[in-house]
Amino acid sequence: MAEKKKVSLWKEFSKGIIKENPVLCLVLGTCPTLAVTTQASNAIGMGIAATLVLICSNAAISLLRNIIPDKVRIPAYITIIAGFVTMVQMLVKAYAPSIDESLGIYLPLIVVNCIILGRAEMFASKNRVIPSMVDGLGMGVGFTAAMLLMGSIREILGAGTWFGIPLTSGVVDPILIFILPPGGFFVFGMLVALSSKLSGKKKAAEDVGCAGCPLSENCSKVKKEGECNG
Amino acid sequence: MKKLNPKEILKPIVVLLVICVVVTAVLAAVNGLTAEPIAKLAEEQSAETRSVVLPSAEEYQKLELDNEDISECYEGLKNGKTVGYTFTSSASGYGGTIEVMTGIDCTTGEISGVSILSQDETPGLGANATKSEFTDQYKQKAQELEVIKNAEPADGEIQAITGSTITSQAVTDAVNKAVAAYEKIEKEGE
Amino acid sequence: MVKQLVAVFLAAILTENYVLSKFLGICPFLGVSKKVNTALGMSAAVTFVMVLSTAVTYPIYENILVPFGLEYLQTIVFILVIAGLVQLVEIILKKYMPPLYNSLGIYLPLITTNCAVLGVTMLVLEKAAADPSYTYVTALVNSFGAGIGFLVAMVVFAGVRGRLETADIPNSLKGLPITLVSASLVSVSFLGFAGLVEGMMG
Repeated sequence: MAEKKKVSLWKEFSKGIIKENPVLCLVLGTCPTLAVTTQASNAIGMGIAATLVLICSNAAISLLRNIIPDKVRIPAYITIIAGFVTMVQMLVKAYAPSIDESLGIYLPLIVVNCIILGRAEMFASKNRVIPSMVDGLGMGVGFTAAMLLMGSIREILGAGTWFGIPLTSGVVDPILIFILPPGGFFVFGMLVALSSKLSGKKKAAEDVGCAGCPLSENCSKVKKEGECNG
Repeated sequence: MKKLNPKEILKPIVVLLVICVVVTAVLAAVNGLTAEPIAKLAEEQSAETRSVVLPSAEEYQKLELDNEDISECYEGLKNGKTVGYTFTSSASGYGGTIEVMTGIDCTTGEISGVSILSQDETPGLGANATKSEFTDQYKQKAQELEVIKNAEPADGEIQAITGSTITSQAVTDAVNKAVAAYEKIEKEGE
Repeated sequence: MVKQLVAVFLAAILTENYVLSKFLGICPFLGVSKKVNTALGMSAAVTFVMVLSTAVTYPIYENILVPFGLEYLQTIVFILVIAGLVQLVEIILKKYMPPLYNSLGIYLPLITTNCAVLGVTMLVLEKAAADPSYTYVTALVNSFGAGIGFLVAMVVFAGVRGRLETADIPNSLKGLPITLVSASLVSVSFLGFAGLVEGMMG
């Protein structure tokens, strides 16, 4: 019994890293992924902050899952998530001010990161506390790993450094465009293509991930509408 | 239409309200814990910047200036005598507002140092303005400064960062505001 | 004064484009930009909510949160205010302006969790804190410009995506990857606006 439980917890954790990687497979949380990955260190900072919020909000929502009425669940989730985000923001400001400086406005914007609301809706509202926290940890680690990968590629190619350590200085001139916005879109596109190639899917995700988003119903309505009118 | 049950309406409202109150209470508690370290950190940081841009002073005293361009001003003292001032001013750059602290030594009337407090410029381009290669150009300058490109800077001129003329111009604007404020103080003092 | 407002407006559209240079609101940018008319509808709704939220959150922050020392509640208050406003607008439109509701209504619920809206309300406050000449009116103009910038980016991008439909694309790049690569090219073109506004306004 204990053995089985361990195995399933490991499954909840590991799915977030590869099979259901929130960034590369589910394509959630695109805004921070593109915005803060100009440096590998920023990617780590953002990843850790988001992971903390994910674990805490998943735990809180899972605890309250039988108390929150269905009708007001989205506002309730948003309030809880915003609370944890503000808490993390204050802690970061007090104890890691350099991270606060480099993440700027993207730190409070974790509130509207669809990974967090998505996991609350998809997983935490239906599962017990421990699995929910493990799910949050897995998703957070997957998010961090994907951002670290992107941050490393962009920093090495675009600035010739990695975590601020000069790597290619004097050998190759850095390709500046990789740390500018266009480079962000480009590297992200290539990574999504690569991950779908490696995972053996015939085609990459058609669109941004709506699967995990509680608003997906409206979203697909909007898309259908467009197709009819167009 | 089915008749609305008061319990059905009340319960969501009460639950939502309780969540809001609890979250706010927790936040207030965390704020109480972190407010002090945050304020202390900010104070330490600005004290450190002051000693970098105006190294000749030993202590700093806050001055209230009647000047829209300057958000904060400190008078630098050594052995009870004024040796210079630090001015915090801002100008809008490429990505947003750039906040700059300028130190001016009043024994020579020259800029003793410039430090960028906050900026939102493009990494790799405008953000290079924070590097000392750029900010050191301002040292020992005394008059209104101008930004130039592709030429050796003469006196009163600042070499722009390659590809970031707007950022360079913004920093220079902010420094010029500080120079103007300094000249005003000097005039009033006479 | 007018000159400053025009400069703020143009800068918000071209050089500080929320989607292409600040990466805010990427989800709708990639998700609902397949057709020009949906792109238009979505961005019209976003612009409306942006201006409205700024109009409400700016005074709340300046007159309630700051005097009481409650700045730390900014995130939570703003997100709830935006969510409430969106609901309210939806109800009002449904009741009093059905034609407008029919064209914009379906986009409204999507906007609550759109980071561009929350981002605008926070960024204008940041700017106001740093620049004393930045007023309530400037903030409103700025958020209107941000919305129009969103619209421009969406419509341009919808046009580019229309072209992709007939293009021959390698298998692995089909779908999202090629969309992102096209977004990268559109974003390159916006880099060209650097300095334009400052140049025009002297």
